Amino acid sequence: MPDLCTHVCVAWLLTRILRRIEHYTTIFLIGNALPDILSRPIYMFKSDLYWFAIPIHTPAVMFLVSLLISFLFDCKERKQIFLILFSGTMCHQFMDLFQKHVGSSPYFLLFPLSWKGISLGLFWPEASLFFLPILVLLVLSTLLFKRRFSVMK
Amino acid sequence: MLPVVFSNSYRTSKIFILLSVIFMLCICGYLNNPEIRYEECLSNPEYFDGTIIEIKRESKVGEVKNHYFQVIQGREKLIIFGETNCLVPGDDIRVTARFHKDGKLELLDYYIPKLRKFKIYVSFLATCLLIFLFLLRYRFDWENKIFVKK
Repeated sequence: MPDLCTHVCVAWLLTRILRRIEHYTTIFLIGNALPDILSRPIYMFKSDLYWFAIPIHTPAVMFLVSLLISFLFDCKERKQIFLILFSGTMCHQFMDLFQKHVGSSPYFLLFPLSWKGISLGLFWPEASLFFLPILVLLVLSTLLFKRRFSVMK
Repeated sequence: MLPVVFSNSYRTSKIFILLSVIFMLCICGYLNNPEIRYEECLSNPEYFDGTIIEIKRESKVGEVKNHYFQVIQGREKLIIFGETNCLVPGDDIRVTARFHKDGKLELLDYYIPKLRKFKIYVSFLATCLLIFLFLLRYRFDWENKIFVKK
C-alpha cells in the first residue's frame, strides 16, 4: 500500500475539495489511516497472525469497525462520524488498488464472500515515497493559503 | 430522527456484538485462508506438483549461492532455486515459486522492497500526527464515555 503519510496527504487534499466533509477533516484522515493502523502492526510483530489481520483490511470489516468507532461519539453526530470514517477507509482501499504485487493481490475487497484478490497493478508500494514530497508541499501550500486568506479577512 | 442502530439504546451490547463479529471474521480469515504453504505441499507432493506458492509475510533473504538462495520466514527457512543476481542477505523479499514433487521450489518472480523500513518510519510519523490532531480536537468525556469536541 502507499505509506500512511501519502494516504493522509491525499485525504487532506480531498477535504479541501469536498467542502462538505471539511468539518470532519480529522475523522476523515483517521478513516484513511485506519485499515493499516489496525491490521499491519498485528502481523509485523507476529507474522503467524497475517491471516487473522488481513480481514481487517477489507471493506466489510472496515464497515463494522467504522460503526464500532462511531459509538465512541455523541449520538447526535454518530451517523455522520460513521459515514465520514467509512468513506475514509474506502478512500484508502481505493488508493491501495493501484499497487503492484508479486503473486496475488492481498486486497480481498469481496471478503467474506470471496478470497479473490483485486488490484490494478500500476505501481510498487514504495513508489508513493517518491511522490510524498510533492504531496507534503501541496498540503503545506493549502495550509499557508488558508492562513493568509483568513488573516486578510 | 436518529436511526435505531445509531441510538444510545443498548450501546454496550451493540459495541460487544460488533467486536464479536469482527473477531469472528478475523478468525474466519485465519482458519479458511487460501494460502498454500510449503509444508502443505510436502505432505502430498504428487497432488501439489506444479502449485505456485507465495512467500510474502515478513520474509528475508538468507544465504545466497550461485543457483539457489534461502528465504527466512519466521523460524522457517526455504531453499529456492533460480537466479540470485541482486539478492543481498538480510533484504526483505517477496517471492512466488513453483513447487515440484521432488520438494524443490523453482523461483518464478521476486520483489525486493528496498524502502520498506523507511516507509514504516514515515507511516509511524503519520500515525503520531493523526493521534495528535485527534487529541487537539476531541477530549474523552468519562461520565458519558464518549469523545466530544473541545
